Amino acid sequence: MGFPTIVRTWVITANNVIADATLALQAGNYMRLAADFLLANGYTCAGSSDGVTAAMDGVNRWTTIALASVRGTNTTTPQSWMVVTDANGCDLLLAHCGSADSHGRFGCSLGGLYVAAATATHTPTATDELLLTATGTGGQTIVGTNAAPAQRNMFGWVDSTAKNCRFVITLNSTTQNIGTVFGLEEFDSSIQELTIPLSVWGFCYTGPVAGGFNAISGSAGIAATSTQGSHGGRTRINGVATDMAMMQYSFLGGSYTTWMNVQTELQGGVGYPIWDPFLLVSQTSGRFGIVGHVVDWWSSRYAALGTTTTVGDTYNAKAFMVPGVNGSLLWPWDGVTTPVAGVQASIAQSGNNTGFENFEDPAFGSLTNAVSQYVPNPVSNVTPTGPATPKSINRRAGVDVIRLHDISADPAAETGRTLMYSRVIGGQQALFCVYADGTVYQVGAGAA
Amino acid sequence: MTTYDRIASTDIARLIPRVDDPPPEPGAVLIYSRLVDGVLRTLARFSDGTVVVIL
Repeated sequence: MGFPTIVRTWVITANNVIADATLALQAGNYMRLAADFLLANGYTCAGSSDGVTAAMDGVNRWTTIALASVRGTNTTTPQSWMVVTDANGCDLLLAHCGSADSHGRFGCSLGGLYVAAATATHTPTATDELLLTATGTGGQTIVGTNAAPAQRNMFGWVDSTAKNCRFVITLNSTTQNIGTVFGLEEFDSSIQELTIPLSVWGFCYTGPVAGGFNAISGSAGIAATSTQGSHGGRTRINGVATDMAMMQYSFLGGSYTTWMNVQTELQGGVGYPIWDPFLLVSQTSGRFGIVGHVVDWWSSRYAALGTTTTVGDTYNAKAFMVPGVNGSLLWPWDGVTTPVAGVQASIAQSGNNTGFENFEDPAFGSLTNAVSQYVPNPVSNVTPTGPATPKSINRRAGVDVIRLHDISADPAAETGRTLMYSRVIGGQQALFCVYADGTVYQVGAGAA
Repeated sequence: MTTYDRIASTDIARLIPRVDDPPPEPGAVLIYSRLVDGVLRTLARFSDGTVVVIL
């Protein structure tokens, strides 16, 4: 067992200090750091507002923190806002809009349809907008409410294709998440049957514990029912706005709280478990089910805050970083930088990928919980239907012996399949393959 | 009744190398891999104990 494979190539901005200042300036600073980072890494500015001048004209007006910090109390008051567009053509809206200085309003338009409001300094609108922060026009706190002195630290990730981005903010004095974790990312939707032309979701989490940017609580953590702006994210599946939460098979039954702080013996006893990428699950009527997998997002060791893990801990020579409090979440890291999420020093953790056999095989998956199991019965008369399209085998565990029981006749050839089997012919046991065209080869044989 | 009730489908069978030959089993052929003269090979062990390098 080893560490999980990082799928994307990530550019990371680390340890950005959001200096102690008014909450309005800190909110503006957070948004501006995120916007500047995106614009430096393949995203384009669709338009912006400095609270006085605004247009969807491709001009970045956030040339100072102050110009990104003009708050409008609702969507129809002048405010700082920016719309950036990723390489999928999706828009991400960052607006300093809300009922308090620490508030912001984040949204996305998968069709890239944001247009300026009638009064351009007001919040832009999009007919396909997915509001990511809390419902209503009051926004939500994006930097937390801890007043001065309260330095924040900001971290950002963007992948080399300019299609995935995520941001974290921490409170320096506690090394905890604060405010809003957000992002706009592609996900892997190949596990479900609908064709999703554009598999992109925007997400917002608030932290640290009660809001849900942690994997340790099935009722309040990221596996909980999606609550817009607090935990979960949103996408459109063939036009239908779909709210999503996260899930891991490993979470079922809550026993992960036992496993997640143990160097599991069955994985060699040399590291804490790293669980496979999270599933995105939909709770929207007409779109129930597993939507896909998030990209490069795992869970890791769980331990109580202040004991052994905290935001900024790393795994595998700084290849991974813990972005959520109490450990339990894991994102890629740059392999070089020591994360500084706050006053508490980060720790190099040991980890091991648990793997998960048949993780995403729809026909033979081992999705289990306390009350149900779904595994093929080896002695039933039911003929299991194999997967129509074989899924990724990247995480499928290997075996050291394949046992082929003798059968009495050649099996019928199958389109698109190669069948391997053993038979005894004339007293001699032999190993055969039959190909799709019916050709049978003898691979080997025992003594005559 | 078909004999398919024991058939599993996969796109790749991943064999983790062994350090020895598994003992033969009656009524079954065992497929496995191990180093043979320093080269990783795929082998089959038949019920009579015969070991054949198949790949």
